[in-house]
Amino acid sequence: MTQDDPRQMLGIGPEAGDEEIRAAYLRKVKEFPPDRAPGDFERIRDAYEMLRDPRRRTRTMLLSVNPNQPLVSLLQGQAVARKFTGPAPWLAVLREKKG
Amino acid sequence: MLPKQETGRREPGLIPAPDVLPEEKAHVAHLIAHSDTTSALEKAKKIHKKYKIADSEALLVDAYIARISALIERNLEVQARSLVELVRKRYPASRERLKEIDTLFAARKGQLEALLQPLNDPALSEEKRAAIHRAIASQVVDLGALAQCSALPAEHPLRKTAAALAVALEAVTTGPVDDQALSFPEISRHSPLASWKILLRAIAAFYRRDDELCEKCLAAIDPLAAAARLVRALRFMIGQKQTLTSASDLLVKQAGGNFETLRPKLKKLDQLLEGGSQAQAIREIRDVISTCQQSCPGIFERLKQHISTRAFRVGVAPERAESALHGHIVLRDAYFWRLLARTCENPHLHPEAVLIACSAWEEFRKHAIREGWFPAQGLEVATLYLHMADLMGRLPLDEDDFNPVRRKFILTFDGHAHYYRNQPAEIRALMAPKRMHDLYFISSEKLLERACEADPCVENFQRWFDWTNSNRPGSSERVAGRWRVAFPKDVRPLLHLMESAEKTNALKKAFGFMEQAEQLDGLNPQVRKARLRLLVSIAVRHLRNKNARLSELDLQAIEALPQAQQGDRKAFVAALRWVSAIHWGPKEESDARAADVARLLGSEIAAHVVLTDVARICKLPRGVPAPLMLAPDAKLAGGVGLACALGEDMGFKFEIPNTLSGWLLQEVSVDVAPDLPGLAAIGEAAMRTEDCPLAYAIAGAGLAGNPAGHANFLFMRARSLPPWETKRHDGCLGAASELARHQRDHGLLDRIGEWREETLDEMASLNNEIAMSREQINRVIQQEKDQRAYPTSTPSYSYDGDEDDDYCDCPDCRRERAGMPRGAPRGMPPGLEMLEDLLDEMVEQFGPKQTGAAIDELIDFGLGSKRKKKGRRAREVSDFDIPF
Repeated sequence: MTQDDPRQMLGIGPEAGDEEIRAAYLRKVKEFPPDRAPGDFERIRDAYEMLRDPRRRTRTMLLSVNPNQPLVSLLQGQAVARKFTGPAPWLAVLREKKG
Repeated sequence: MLPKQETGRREPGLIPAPDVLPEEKAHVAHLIAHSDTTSALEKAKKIHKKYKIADSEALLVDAYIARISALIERNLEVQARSLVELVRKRYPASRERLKEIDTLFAARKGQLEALLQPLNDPALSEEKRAAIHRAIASQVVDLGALAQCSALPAEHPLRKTAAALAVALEAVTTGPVDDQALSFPEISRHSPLASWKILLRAIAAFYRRDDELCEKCLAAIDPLAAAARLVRALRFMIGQKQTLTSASDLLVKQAGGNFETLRPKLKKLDQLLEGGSQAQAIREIRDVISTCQQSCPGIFERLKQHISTRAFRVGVAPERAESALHGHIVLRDAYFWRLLARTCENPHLHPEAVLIACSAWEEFRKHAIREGWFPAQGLEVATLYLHMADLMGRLPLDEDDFNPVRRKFILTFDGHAHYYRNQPAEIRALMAPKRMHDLYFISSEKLLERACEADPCVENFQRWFDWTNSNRPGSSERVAGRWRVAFPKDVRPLLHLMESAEKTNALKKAFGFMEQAEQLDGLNPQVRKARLRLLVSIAVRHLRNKNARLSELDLQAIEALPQAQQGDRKAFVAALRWVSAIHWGPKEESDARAADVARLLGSEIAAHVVLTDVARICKLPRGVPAPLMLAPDAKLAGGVGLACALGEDMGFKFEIPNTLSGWLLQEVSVDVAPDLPGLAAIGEAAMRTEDCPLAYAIAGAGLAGNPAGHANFLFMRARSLPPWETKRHDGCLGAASELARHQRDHGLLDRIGEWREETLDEMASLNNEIAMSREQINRVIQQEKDQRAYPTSTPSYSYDGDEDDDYCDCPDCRRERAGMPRGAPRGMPPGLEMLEDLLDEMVEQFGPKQTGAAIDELIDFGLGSKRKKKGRRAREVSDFDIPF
C-alpha cells in the first residue's frame, strides 16, 4: 500500500463518519495484521489516528486542496455528461456517406 | 459483346482462344468468397487480359460486382458508384448484373421494394434469400422504411421486427430503458436485424454508464452490418481513441464526449506553467479554455480558478492571465480563496506572502460560510483560525524583523479589492468596505482567541495559553481566566496560573491557585505534587533568608504531607532539615541529618549529591558539605542517578558536582549501568551544566541498555554532539522522533520539537517530516553505540553515504582552509565568548586579518556584553521571490 491520503488508505469516501471510519479500520487491520504486515499496519494505524480525531479530520478536509496539482488531475472523477438526444444524430451517423 | 471503342480493343470473341481454365475461375471465386475483393479483381483483370473472351469478361464483371458490393458494405458509396459507372461503360453486357447493385443503392436510400420483393416468392432459392438478408443487414439504415415497405405483407416478420426496433431506437435515445424492453426474443442471431438488437443494448448500456457491457455489445456487432456504423462513435464516448467522421463527431458533441482532446492540452499547459515561456503558456491557456468549454464544461469553472492561481504563482501578470481566459470571469468563491491561500503558503516565499495567505483564508472563511460549507462558529472555523495561527508562527519571532513587513501589509492591504471586480453581486457582498478591514488575522493571539470562541475546547485553550505564556506572559493570566470561565471544573488553568506565578517567584500567589485547584480536584496527582513542591519552595526561600520560625513551620507542614513520605522524598526533606541544622543547630545534629539522608537513600554518593545541590539551592556557604572521599573503584552512576532523579521529582534541577563528573565520565564510558531512568536524569543534569562529553557518554551507555529508552538517549546524544556533527545530529534527532512516534511518547516529541525550535531554522520542519525506516533507525543506533569517544575533530562516518560534501566542518579543518596552521591558538577575549562559535566561519570567509579587525572594532564599541536574541533566523528572501 502506498497511498498518502488516509481516506484512500482505509478505502472510505470523504463523507465517511466515525462509525464508518472505525469499521474500515478494523477491516484493514484484518487484512494487514501487525504480525504479518507490520509496515502496512503502521500506516493503517496512522491513517486511522488521523481520521478518528474530528479535529485532525477537519483539518485534513480543509487543507486537502493542492494548488500545484497537475491541471489534468481535475479530470479525475469527472463523468462526461451523457445526454439523451433522440434518434436523429444517431441515424445521421448511419446514413452518412463515405468517400 | 461489343468492342470497347474508347480503347480500340478487338472484340474478344472474334479471335478463337482457349477457354478460361477452371482453376483460374475457382481461384477468383475463392478470393471473392473470402472477401478479398481487391485481389480477386486484380486476378480477374489479369485473366481477362490474357484471354479476352466472353468467359473471362464475365469473370471480371463478377469480380467488379463483388468489389462494388464490398465498397457499399463499407459505406463507401461514392467510390462504389464511380466503379459502377466504369463497369457499365466498359462492359455493356453487364447491365443486367448491375441491377443487383442498383437495388443495394436503392436500399440504402430506403427504397427497399426492389430488394425485398423477391422474398415474397416461395420458390426463392436459399442462396438468393441469404444474399437479400445480407443486403438488408449491411444496407438498411432506415428501420422505419423497412417497417413500412409495401413489397412485403404487413404481417411479415421483417416488417414487424423493424417497426419494434425503430420504436426501441427512439426510446433508448430519448430516456432510460430497461434491458427487459430490449430483449427482442423474436429476433434470432441469424436475423438480418440481429445487429440492431445488439446496438440498442449497447446504447442503453452507454446511457446507464455500464461501459463494460457497452463494449461487449459493440464487440458482438457484425462489422459489415449497417448498425456497425455507430460502433466508433460509441467507443469514443466510452473513452477509447477513435477517428470520427463528421456525423459521428456531431453525435459525440451532442450525446457526450470524452476527455481525449482536453487531456493532452492540460498536460502541455502544466509543463508550460512549470517551466515554459509565459507567452507559450498564455497561448496554451486560451486553447485549453476553449477546448474545455466545449468538451468538458463540468470542470470549466474549476479549471479557470486553478489556471488563475497557477498563473499567479509563476508570476504571470493578472491582466495577461485575464486576457488569456478570453474574458471569462474567474469566480472568486470559497474554492478560489482556498486555492489562493494554499498557493501563498509556500514556505519559500517572502514573509509577506504568509500575511496574504492569512488574508485569503479569511476570505475563504467568509465565502465558505455563505456557501454553506460549514457554520459560522464551530470546529471548522476554529480549525481555520488555528491553521492561520500556525502560518503566523512561521514569521520571524524577532519583532524588529517582522514589524516592517506587518506595517507595509497594513498600509497596502486593500481587502483584495481587485479580485472582487466584475464578480456576481452575492460575492461582492462579502467584500470588506474600503479601509474597514479587520486585520485580526495577522495577530496570532487574536486568532487563537477566536479559535477558542468558535470551538471552546480544552486543546484550543491550552494552545492559546501556551502561546501567550511564551510570547505575552503578561496576558497569560487573562487567558487562564477565560479558560476557567469556559471550563470551571478544569483544574489545568489553575495549575498553569500556579506555575506561571511560581516561575516569577510569586510563591504566595501560586499557593493560592494551588489551594483553589485542591478544592476542585484534591486527588489530582499534579495538584498533590504541587502542594509539596510549593511548600518545599517556600521552605527553601525561608531557609535562604535564614528565617528560623517560618522555615520550621514549613518543614513541619511538609513532613505532615503524605506525599512527602513517598519514595525518596523523605531524603529530600531530611536534607532541608540538615540545612536548618547547619543554620541553627549543633554540628552533631547536622551530621545526624546528613546521615539520615544517606540512610534514606542507601547511598553515600547519592546523599552527597543531594546535600551539595540542596546547599547550593539554599545558598549555604561554599565547602558545605565537605568533599566526598572516593575509593579508587567507587561506582558513582547509581548514586548520582538516584540523586538527580530525586531532584527532578521535587522540581529542582540538580547539577552534578564538578568533583564527580570526571569520575562519572570514566565510569559510564566503559561500564553500562542498568538504571536507565537514573542515567537519563544524570544526562539531563550534565546537559544543564553543558557538560556535553558526559551527556554524550551517558547517551552511549543508555543506548547499550533496554531498547525502550533508545528514543530518549538518541535525543540526548543529538543534543550533546558538537555543532559540526550536523549529519549525526540530524540522524539522531530523526531516529529519536521516529521512535518516539512509534512509542506514542508525546512528551519526548514535544521536547524534540522545542529543541528544533530553539536551535534550528525553519528548514528543521522540513527535515522533521522525513520519516525513517526501521532499518535506518537501527543503523543510527548501532553507529551511535559504536561511536563511544566524544568527537573532537573530523566526522568519522556518514549515515547516508553522501560524499558530495568533502569539506570537514571541524575547527581544525576550517582553520586550515583559511590558511592558518592546524591547532593554532583560538578563543575569544572576555565578553565576546558568544562569538566563539562564529570565529571559524568568519576566519574562513573573511580571512584572519579582517576577522581580527572586526573583533577589535567590536571590542572598541563594547558590544561584547550584548547577547544575541534567541529565536529563529529571519529568512533571507529577496523581493523577487514575491509573485505579486
